[in-house]
Amino acid sequence: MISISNEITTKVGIKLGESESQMIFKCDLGDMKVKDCYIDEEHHEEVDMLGPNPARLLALGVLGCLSASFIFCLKKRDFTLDDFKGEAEVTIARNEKGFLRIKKIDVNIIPKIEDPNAIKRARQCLKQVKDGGSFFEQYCIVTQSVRAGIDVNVNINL
Amino acid sequence: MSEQLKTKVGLKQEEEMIFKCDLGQLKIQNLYIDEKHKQETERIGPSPAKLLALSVLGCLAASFTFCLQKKDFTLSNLEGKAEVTIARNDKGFWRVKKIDIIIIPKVDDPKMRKRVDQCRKFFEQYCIISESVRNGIDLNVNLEY
Repeated sequence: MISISNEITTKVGIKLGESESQMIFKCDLGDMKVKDCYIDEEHHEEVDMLGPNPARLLALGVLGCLSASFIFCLKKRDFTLDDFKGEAEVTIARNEKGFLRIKKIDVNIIPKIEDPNAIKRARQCLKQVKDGGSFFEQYCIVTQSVRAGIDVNVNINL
Repeated sequence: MSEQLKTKVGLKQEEEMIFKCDLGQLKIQNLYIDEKHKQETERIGPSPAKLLALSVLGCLAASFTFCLQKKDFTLSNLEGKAEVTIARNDKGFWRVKKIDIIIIPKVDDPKMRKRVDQCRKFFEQYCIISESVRNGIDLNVNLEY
């Protein structure tokens, strides 16, 4: 990431994979410690897929960002979680012109918190703000940026 | 009811700000989302912003090759690059402002070049992701050949 004044830029790349398929791409993530990252639009059966398709990558971007923002909100008051998991379901439907588009992403965040003080803080993180959504969601760069085009429903099981 | 497709992903916290992705039965060993490390050489996985960029880039590249395949053209090489710009909005929150995308197919045959000229005009509409996020993010797509 390069920070110039009030902007940050980050880069990624892809290359056509080595297989004969024209629908499998190898990710270029620079110097990261990631061995194999493929985007697979060739296979339709999960067991055959060499990597996520773009819809799954988008869902992971939204889910990962919301998870980090929620944990960040707890950490601000030095609270940690006992356990944490999250799920996202993407719904793809045709628009009025007949093209497939991402219609919505349903996100379910499941934190495990035992400490009553941490639960109290978690509830503060969930407080609704004026613009809609919870307080912690405002800190999620990816989700708030795609919301203009995609319904993102966030549910937290406290 | 109109046609709908659904797809699912999950994650689990590995350690603070590092998440292990759950991609079901995919043939992929481990994929992590790393919001902990700042230095690229230390990161064990992409950030959510990079995942978004890969999603848009991968989808556009697949839509482009799909358009060529429709007329039986096969690419010997293709490269793509995406640069994400994150900036503060008027309320001071960081948001994805734009994604600049370059797709570089290797085109050496005049017939293929003609088809690429045609695809250039409409391939983006077949990309589920780019056209869904465009309302909130400026996407600049360039085809270099």
